[in-house]
Amino acid sequence: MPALSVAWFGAFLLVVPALIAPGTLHGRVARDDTGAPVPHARIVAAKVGGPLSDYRAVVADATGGFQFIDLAPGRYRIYAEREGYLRGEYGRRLSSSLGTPVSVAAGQTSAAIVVTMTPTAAIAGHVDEEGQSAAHVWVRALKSRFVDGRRTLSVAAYAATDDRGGYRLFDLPPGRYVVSAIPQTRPRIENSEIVTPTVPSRANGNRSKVRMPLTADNVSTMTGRPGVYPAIYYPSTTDVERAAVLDITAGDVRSGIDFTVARGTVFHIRGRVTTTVASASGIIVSAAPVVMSTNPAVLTRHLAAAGEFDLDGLLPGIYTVFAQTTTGPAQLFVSTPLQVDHDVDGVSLVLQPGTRIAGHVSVDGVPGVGGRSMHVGLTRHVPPIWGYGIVPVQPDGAFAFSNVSPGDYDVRVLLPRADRSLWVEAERFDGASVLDSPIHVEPGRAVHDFDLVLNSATAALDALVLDDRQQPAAGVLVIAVPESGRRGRSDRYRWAVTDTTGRAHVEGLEPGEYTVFASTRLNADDWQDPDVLARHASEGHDVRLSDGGAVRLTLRATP
Amino acid sequence: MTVWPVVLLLTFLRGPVSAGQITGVVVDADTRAPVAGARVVLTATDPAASTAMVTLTDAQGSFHFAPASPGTYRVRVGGDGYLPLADAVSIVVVTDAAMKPLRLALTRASAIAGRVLTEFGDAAPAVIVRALAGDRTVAEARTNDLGDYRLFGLAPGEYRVAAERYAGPRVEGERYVVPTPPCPDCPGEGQFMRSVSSVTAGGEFVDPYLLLGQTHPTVYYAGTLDASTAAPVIVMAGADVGGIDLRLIAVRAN
Repeated sequence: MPALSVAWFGAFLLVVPALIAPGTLHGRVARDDTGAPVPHARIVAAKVGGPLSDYRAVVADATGGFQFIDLAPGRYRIYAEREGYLRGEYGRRLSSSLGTPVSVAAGQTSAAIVVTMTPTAAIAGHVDEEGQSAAHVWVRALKSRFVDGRRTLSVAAYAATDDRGGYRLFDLPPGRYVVSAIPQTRPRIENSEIVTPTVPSRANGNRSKVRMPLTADNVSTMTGRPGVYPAIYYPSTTDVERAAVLDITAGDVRSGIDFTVARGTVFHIRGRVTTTVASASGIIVSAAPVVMSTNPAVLTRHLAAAGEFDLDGLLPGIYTVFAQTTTGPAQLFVSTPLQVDHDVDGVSLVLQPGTRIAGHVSVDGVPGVGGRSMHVGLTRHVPPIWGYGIVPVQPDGAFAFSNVSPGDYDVRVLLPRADRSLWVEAERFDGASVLDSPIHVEPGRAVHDFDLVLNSATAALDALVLDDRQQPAAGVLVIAVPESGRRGRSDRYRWAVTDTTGRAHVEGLEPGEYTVFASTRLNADDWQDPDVLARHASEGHDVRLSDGGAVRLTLRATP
Repeated sequence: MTVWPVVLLLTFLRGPVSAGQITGVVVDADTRAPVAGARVVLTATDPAASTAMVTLTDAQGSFHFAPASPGTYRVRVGGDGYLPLADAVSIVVVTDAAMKPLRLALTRASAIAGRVLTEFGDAAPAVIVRALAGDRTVAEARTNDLGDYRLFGLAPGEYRVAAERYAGPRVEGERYVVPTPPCPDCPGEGQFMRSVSSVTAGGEFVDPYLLLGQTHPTVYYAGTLDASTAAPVIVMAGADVGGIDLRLIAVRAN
């Protein structure tokens, strides 16, 4: 029997190398700023084109070293993941770009690679109310971004204060942040119910509030005085426009970001919803702040039929009050802006059918889309509550939106992701140019002459990026920023990332004046922020790009 | 014509106030200092009655309710940093009798704090830590980037402290399933699914613990995976118990 085992083992040795001869790969993990080793990162070797059984993972040792010994031949993307760092990928410098796959050949050991990781940042502080530490306050880090020339805020991290009022936001990528604090709403009594706000989870059926009948047993000692807290933005303002924007760099720990919260005065909006269509039923009435905040922002009431409505507990500000039907043959709408700095009574909302908006696309003066796949999108200008959505453009260039609710909309021509062959030369709506402004849809006033004029004579930019030692720099963002006055549309910003020869080809540019930047740290999104542009103004190269032309530039990589 | 204290915890201050009104003061049981901003809840003792009144104490710890209709009422108190005083007192309100103010004493709540580390001894962020009384979760917290957590609002007693990593991604047949944790700004806790082939086609990232076949079961203080051998953490009234540190343990997934 032992002889037989040896024979089998021998056969195995003979056969296996011919079939799968594994490749090996080794390397180490280091911080991208200091080069210091990152211990205990989990390394994933992801075989491009799979299968999943060819993926491998190992844990790096205390000095950041790692080794894969059984990789099937192929191309691999190499990732590193660890607490306190952004996920890293070999060959990637910018968090928004892709890394470089590594080739692993049968039976061979690849050259050692270094995977770099960016440390994440933290923001910490204290919240109080009336001189006492405030527990159960939600503090949020809101990432500041510019889209179409306007600041948008999105939640990047959240934390609740403890009994000593302390909080700590973490896992933050470097970037620009606004920080807000708002006390968790306590259970409150609404008519004959107790309403308890909750974090939606499977355990509570993914509800953001739980309603219980108002009985002596259901009233808890958490039940607070009715009252609404406005969000406080650091440093101590309720006006998001006046919030400080914190510049957070990799590995920052920013402490002392403290808040004082207080109840706000609240008002109501009352009035009547009426309609010219007798069958209207199932009506939603809402008030949404024009400046979006981290408050439970949109207050909504459901009405069975047209009649009185009451929106209460509103903090001062400008609101869009809107109503729409949710049932019935055709949706009816109404919306109106309202300044709330006192109780507002007697508001009249008249529900009406939406409007038909139709138009044509032309490319280089010829009606039609020139065989391309194309869509047109409408999104609400303020506030971003209802995006209307997108419609396809027909081969002859015709497109139409039916039943658009009245209001202001931004218009975008949508091409497949990689298509950079067109720029928007003109947009005419109802006889006026709306290239850099929203369209205004009026109730009952259909528009049939919405013309979108596109041009295929795009310009291009070829850049070579060199580092301090005059060597080609790979993985560097090259971005063309349009001149001031043309920065209200994000689609005018174009960028590319340099390859291993330090070259980037930026295409699809509308002819005009641009400033070109080469950056190893900032992502494309960041360059739409006017503060970022101002700070780096001296590093840019001004270029003029003409129809169908291409410009060659040599740039120095700047951090 | 009389006021009957039904529960003996009730103490009276001197001096009558107007008939039918319920007034009082909330103090710290230990220091006797007034507690400002405490929430005082008044409900009728009839469980079916849907009347409830809520008020906050002022800077002197005082509160009062507008005249209530005759009947039996329950008074409960909650204050930040204090244990709630539930079923503290029951009182009968009689409309034309003068009623003495209530004096309600609150006991400071306790806390348990500590640090959670990975199996390698590094800080373990975003780990869910729970204080369990029996099998019931009485407080829950999430560790920060230093691995620190703080469970607060605890009554005196014995607790087990448990730390758990939120479930990582898994593969179910041809699907790569990523559980998404609860969050105040999400529509709800759920999961995100993709086909495995769409992930591997581009060599996209897959959770390394899934590839390693490892998982982190719930670990109980002082470092056991077996709930029955957990060391109890004994908490005295108003105490701040620190140093309840836990280390995650990676085991082979089944």
